[in-house]
Amino acid sequence: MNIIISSIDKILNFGKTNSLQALVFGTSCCAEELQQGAYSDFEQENSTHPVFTTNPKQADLLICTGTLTVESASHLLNLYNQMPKPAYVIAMGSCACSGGMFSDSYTAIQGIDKVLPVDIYLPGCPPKAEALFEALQKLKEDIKSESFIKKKEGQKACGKPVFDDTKDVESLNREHFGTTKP
Amino acid sequence: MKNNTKNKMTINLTPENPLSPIGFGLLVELESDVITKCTPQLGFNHKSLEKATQNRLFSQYIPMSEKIDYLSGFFCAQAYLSALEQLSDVELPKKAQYIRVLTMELNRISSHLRWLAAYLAGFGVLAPANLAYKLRGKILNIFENITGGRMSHNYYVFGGVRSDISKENLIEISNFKSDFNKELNTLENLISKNPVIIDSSMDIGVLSTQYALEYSITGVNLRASGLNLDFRKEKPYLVYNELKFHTPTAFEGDSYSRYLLRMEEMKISADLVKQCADWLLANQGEIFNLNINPLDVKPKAGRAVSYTESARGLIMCHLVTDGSEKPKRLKWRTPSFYAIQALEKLAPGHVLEDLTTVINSLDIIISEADR
Amino acid sequence: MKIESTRAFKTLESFKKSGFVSLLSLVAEDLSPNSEGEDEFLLTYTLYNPVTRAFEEIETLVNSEIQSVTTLFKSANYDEREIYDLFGIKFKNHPNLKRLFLEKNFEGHPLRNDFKQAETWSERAL
Repeated sequence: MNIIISSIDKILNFGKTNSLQALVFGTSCCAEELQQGAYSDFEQENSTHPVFTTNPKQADLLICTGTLTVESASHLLNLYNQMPKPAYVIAMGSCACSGGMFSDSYTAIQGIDKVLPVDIYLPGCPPKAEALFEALQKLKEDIKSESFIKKKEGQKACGKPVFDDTKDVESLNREHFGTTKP
Repeated sequence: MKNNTKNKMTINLTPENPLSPIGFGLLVELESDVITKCTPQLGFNHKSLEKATQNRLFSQYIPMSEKIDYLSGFFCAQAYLSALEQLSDVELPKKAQYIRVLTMELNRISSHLRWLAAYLAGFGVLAPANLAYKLRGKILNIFENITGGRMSHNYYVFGGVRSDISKENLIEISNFKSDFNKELNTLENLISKNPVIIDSSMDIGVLSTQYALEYSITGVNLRASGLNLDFRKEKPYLVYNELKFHTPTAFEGDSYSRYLLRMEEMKISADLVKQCADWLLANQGEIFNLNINPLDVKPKAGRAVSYTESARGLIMCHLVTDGSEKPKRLKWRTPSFYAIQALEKLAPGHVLEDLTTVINSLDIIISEADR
Repeated sequence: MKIESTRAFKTLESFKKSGFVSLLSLVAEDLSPNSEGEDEFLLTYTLYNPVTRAFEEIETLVNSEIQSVTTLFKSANYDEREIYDLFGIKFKNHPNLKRLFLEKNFEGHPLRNDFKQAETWSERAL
């Protein structure tokens, strides 16, 4: 019985790792490094690197680059809720990991793991394009160790996210992140 | 009389829409495929860079100042340090000034190449965009050999630069001009006389000189309308009055003339790089001013303004100090803030498919506008 | 050159008629509290004349309100909205005085001297 499950696992995971479609939510400096690496050094369609798309309903990998502010947090959550599960998230850059150099700002959120569940953290300011592809290799090794009996809960990151799928996006306001009153 | 509202439509382009520009939203009102009103919505990238100066020392702020315009980090660091050096009456040695000019002109070329790739991708022409990115990768490798980082450098200090350029790097930089001109010629033969690009960009986004001065637009966008204003010659700083260069102008003011001007500026910058590298190979000198300590900065109380011509236009830095070791108020005047405002005047009258051409030809970077 | 806030509009109008067409920048600074205990701000206008290639700087002191210059210089539209957003100075006869960078229901004006920020995010139990 275990042999049947593990061979089905191998086929499913082989399909998942080699056909990733990535969606880029980029606002800032780290997105430029990603474009420089993706368009010049590595050819997209020829290798096992992910293909970039702009439609969230066809993607299963979300790469968040750049600083997240309070105004664009609801847009990011909108995108994540539209992606079919299971979906994976990479936090690229030190501003997305934990706030970065804007630790005492009045609008920057300290890391996207206060909003979404994150799988891989990639620090750097900005990280080199080769570092991004090493992070993708690590993600593929993690996917290969999954099993289709236990559903992925998406909680590999440390700390729980603030919102689940059922919460209304429009009820997002500043009280969830902090107040403005002294 | 019936109110004919059948053909009117309002579209809300949020930043994650593939049609909208990167970083800011647009509220577009259409009347059967022609735009009648266009309002930009800012604030998605506001990181409070001006309030952060009140908690940091003068030398701790230099890496943050490079994030104002992440594609031209050297220009923003030079703008901040020039205001600080005016307040403290510090003179830079000659070798440090030539190194600063060399890195700034290389930065101008890499910023224009990235603009070219984004502009061509808006037409659907993808192969020359890949060539432009490959050329830019060579310049970023030169930066990594000199400063250690590809996009955020932290190389300028108060009173000079941090380290010297070795002899092999200088020989490689002085051979840069001939290879670069050859590859730029292959790009130009592919694009400049291409009927697809000429038809989609001629007479689109026309900006006259009177409107450009009223909306306070500077840089290439103003020089394509007919007025020759270059702050490297108007208020010369560093060693620009010893180098030989000219600034071209055009007179039509549409997207095609802005494209031709930026290609011409890249060749002029490559020539300036060669002049600086030849001077550095022939002369010796100090890298920073030995009489001051760059980590212990306490200028006198006062105000200073600095003018810098960056890849997009004029950057002004207003600095107010009160004698302590932290600044009191710092304000950045950036060119993309005013280019977004001019969209309210330029966009109406065009078809919706031409909106990407108009926006891309103005060279807008969102982190400059929102700070 | 320093002028009073009630005569600022007429001075800028006469400058514009003599050729200073372009307003390069508009800067505000918080100097409060002044000697009487009220709020005080310092505004600086920088003008440019393309024919004679001359620059001019004009400074005024403002308490809380001043006449807007959008009818003279079109680029002052976003400048004045930014200053209202971050400092709280109101401009009379502005066509659209709303917040530019921050959200609609943000309380307070961040760059003032008496703005107290909430405790940092990392100390909150989230």
